[in-house]
Amino acid sequence: MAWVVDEFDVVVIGGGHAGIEAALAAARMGAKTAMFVLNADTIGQMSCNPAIGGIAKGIVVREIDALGGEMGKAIDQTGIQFKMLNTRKGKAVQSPRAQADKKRYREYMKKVCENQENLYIKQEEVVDIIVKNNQVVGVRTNLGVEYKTKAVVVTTGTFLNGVIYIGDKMIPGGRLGEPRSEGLSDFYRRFDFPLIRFKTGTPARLDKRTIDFSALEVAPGDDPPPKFSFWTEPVGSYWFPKGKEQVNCWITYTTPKTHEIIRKNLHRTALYGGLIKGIGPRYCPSIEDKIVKFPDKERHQIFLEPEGLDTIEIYPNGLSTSLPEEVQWEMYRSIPGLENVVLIRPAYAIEYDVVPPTELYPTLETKKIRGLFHAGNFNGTTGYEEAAGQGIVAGINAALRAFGKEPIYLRRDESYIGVMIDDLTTKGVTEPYRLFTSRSEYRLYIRQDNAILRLAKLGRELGLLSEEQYKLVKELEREIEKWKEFYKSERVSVAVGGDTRSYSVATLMTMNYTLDDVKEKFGYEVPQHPYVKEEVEIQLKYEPYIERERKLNEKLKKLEDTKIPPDIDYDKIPGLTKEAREKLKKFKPITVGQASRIDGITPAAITALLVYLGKLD
Amino acid sequence: MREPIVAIATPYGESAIGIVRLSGKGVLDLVKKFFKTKREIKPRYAHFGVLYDDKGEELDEGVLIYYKAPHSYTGEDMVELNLHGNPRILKRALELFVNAGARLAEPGEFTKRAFLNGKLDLTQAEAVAELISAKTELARKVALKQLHGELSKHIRPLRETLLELLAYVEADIEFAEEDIPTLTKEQVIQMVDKVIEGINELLKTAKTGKFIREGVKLAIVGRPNVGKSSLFNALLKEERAIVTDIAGTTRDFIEETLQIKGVPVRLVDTAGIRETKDLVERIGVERSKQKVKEADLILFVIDASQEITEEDLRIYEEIKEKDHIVVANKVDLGIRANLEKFKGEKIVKVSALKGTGLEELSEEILKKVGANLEESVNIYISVRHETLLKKAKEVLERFKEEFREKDISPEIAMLDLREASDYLGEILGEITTEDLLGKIFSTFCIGK
Repeated sequence: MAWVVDEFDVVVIGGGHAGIEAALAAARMGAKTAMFVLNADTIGQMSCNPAIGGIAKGIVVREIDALGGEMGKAIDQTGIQFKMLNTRKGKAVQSPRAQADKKRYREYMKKVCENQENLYIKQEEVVDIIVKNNQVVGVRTNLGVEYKTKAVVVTTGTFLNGVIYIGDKMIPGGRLGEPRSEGLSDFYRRFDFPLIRFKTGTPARLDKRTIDFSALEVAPGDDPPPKFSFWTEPVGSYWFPKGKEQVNCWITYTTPKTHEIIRKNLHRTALYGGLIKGIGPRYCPSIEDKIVKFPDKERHQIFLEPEGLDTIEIYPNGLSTSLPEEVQWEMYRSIPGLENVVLIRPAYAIEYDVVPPTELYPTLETKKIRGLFHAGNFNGTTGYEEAAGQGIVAGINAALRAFGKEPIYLRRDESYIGVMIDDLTTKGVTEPYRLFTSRSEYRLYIRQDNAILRLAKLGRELGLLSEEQYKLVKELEREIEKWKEFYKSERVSVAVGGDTRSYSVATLMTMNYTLDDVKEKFGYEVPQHPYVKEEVEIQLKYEPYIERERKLNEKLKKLEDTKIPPDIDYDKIPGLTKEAREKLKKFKPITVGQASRIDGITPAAITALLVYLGKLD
Repeated sequence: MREPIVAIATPYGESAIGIVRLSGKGVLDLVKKFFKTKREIKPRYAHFGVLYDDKGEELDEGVLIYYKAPHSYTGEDMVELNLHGNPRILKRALELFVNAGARLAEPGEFTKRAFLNGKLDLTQAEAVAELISAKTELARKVALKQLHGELSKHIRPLRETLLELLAYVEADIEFAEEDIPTLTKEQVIQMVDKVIEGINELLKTAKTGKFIREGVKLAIVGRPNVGKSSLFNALLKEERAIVTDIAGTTRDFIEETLQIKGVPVRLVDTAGIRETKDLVERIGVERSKQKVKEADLILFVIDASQEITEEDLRIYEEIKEKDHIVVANKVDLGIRANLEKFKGEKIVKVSALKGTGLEELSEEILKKVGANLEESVNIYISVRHETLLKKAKEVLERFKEEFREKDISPEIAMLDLREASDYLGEILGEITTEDLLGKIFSTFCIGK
């Protein structure tokens, strides 16, 4: 009989970006939570690039923040360069991105976890999950110790059965120099979960002292820089004050020689040599992938990013590879500025186990086992932000499960996290999943600037935002509405193409006016609070377009709102093809909208479903 | 599979053969209760047998064909029973199957099921209805081509171009940090133009499509006694209108349907339009004016053997804004009319009496109604298609303007591309609403 040491409400397996948000959310909701990690010193480690955010991803970080998560605060505290991307395009597709000091980021996260009430960190490997009557009851560690728990969140990232590839060298591991985890694969096989292999990779780390920066283009941060958390000083805004101290990045390019070296050695890469069977990310490809897939492209852009303030390691963004180490040296040295570069850590590819996310409900709980949740790369996603976004939802629902309460799920029309989880659980993954703004049909509404307005209510309801925080958001929201009403009611005359016409001040915002223009030209007062001012401007500009977006989505929305009863018998629905029937049985969609997004579900099948549910005819 | 439905698929009345058709779950078992064959029933074989009623009495003999799902018209199990075409037999058979659990089919329900089961797309389903109701050879040909997916073949590439364009513009948004190839503004406009061009090509067929489906309304107009009725008759090639040389003989209008190379033409012979005190004739004149208003094309007839009169010119003024052809009749009597008065007009010279020039007139009529009846043209769109294509075009034009002039940001511009692509999807039935389905399938006859 195993020795039962302790009892928890929620056990989180893994201390990466998904694990942290899951554990913190559960603990903050009052669940007694344990975080099991292979190494307590690497909590919050950034395995790949030293950066948080990016297109769509940066919006996810702000959504996590609006739900009381930690990622935004962490990067605000430990970031060394901040930028708003896509500033030449509209606000809806802009997104913040920041370079992180990796070591400080990790230390910050570890400290927050250590100091979190109800959260217990355990350096032990969980090798089995104990299930009774299809319900999680505990976990067992590699030393045979058991812990009781009501819910488990698995966030093993790239660690489950991880294999590292450098050329023809294969090293078992979860990250270079770190052991992998193995035991859980048996658990999943025993419960008949499909396991698939995914692949990702990371470039070498370069010695800064051996790089000639003199010939390289400098990429500085923005001033004022965007911040991720609404709660970082100055509270109630998404911008740092002007003049924040930041570091530079640099830009260089691959050369014809680089491409030649890679082509010549292609057969020696793990992927093209045939060693790796896993499927790699199309959107974050290795350099050999890019050269094979875009043979006509003469050069590829490379960002040189510092890994931190007190380190000489440089991350060459865009140069991940699984070439043998000696070829890596030659390849890196064919790039301007890197002629004499010295590698500190070699680039490598890694292959790992993933459970297809179609095994999950949109609450991230598995359909097979009550109380078992999956989040992060283990669900087939790529990126810290995607992982953290799932982590917080899994953590929230694990706590709710432990308390015996109704789970929550985020809708597609309220957040990117909702879009992502809906995509994952209905469509599944055929390659590592990355978020894009175009994955959302509501992107004019789910923007970076209004994340707090969209999700603060839910954050407060879950107890993840304080009363005081919520009060501030409500106050700002009221201000915004008040100003919008005011500008909608005020009319001014504007000359357009020779004609003088009367417009509301609000309409001027859709004609590329700013509030400062309005103040200057017509003498109107403008909001004092910078967030209110920015938000009024953006909202008035986008409102008519959001209305059009809404109309386009109306048909979808109707489907979205049509719930499918959980006890539906698909065999009884006339007019479904065998294929559609099987898919629906497998995916168990909870709304007709979700069903319509499953691959292979035709409009005909949806019509049949609607007919059966009495929504047609 | 859906619940079994049943219908008599042949028209009411006595005939050699009448067909009762069933589709849905368990239809073979249902029919087998009453229809006895010697051999076991195999799909797609013709089985001779006897139909008994519920008391075991012989009702008729006939042939049964069984289609097994999904290899049937509806995609479900189907049975077609070929009986003798006596309405009483067919009605009894129908009652038998309804009492045994089948439901009477609604109009178009067989085809609706074919659509719901993915056997047809929406344009093809529409084509089925048109094929059944085709009044002319040409209408039949056009419907058949649409059934074979000819229209879908034209719409799909347009939609795909838009989707490709969306992908490019999206990539520009998503990969701002990575220097991936993007389209220049000019390239984007070019692609949109290509789609608009494709839409225009299809829209050009709308008028003809309407004429093929609904016919062309052709009004013969002119002052009294220029030979309108003779022309009417000559075109009809039969003496139907009363022809005399007393002005005002045709006091009302006469309407006939004929075909000109497969295009159904509703030819209206109007009363001569003139100022008159005769009450009956005046009513006729008024009605004629109404017919002129409704007509798609007007044949304005003058008497070539006489001088052009004030009245001719007055009528000409009234009709010249509408599509029209000037027909100079009675050329066999020599031309005395000063045709220069209709400068710039194409004048067709005919003699209704001698039958000369009629061929040329027919061709001119077809040309005017836009019936470009070359073999290469396969499709003629319907009013529904036209409406959606026009909407798509309108949105694309707006996109072009805003994209080029206003430097609108891409995430907003995308809305137009998406909307346009949705309209095209709606034509194919890939995006459907319940109203649409209801409307389309209710135009069918029962049993199809």
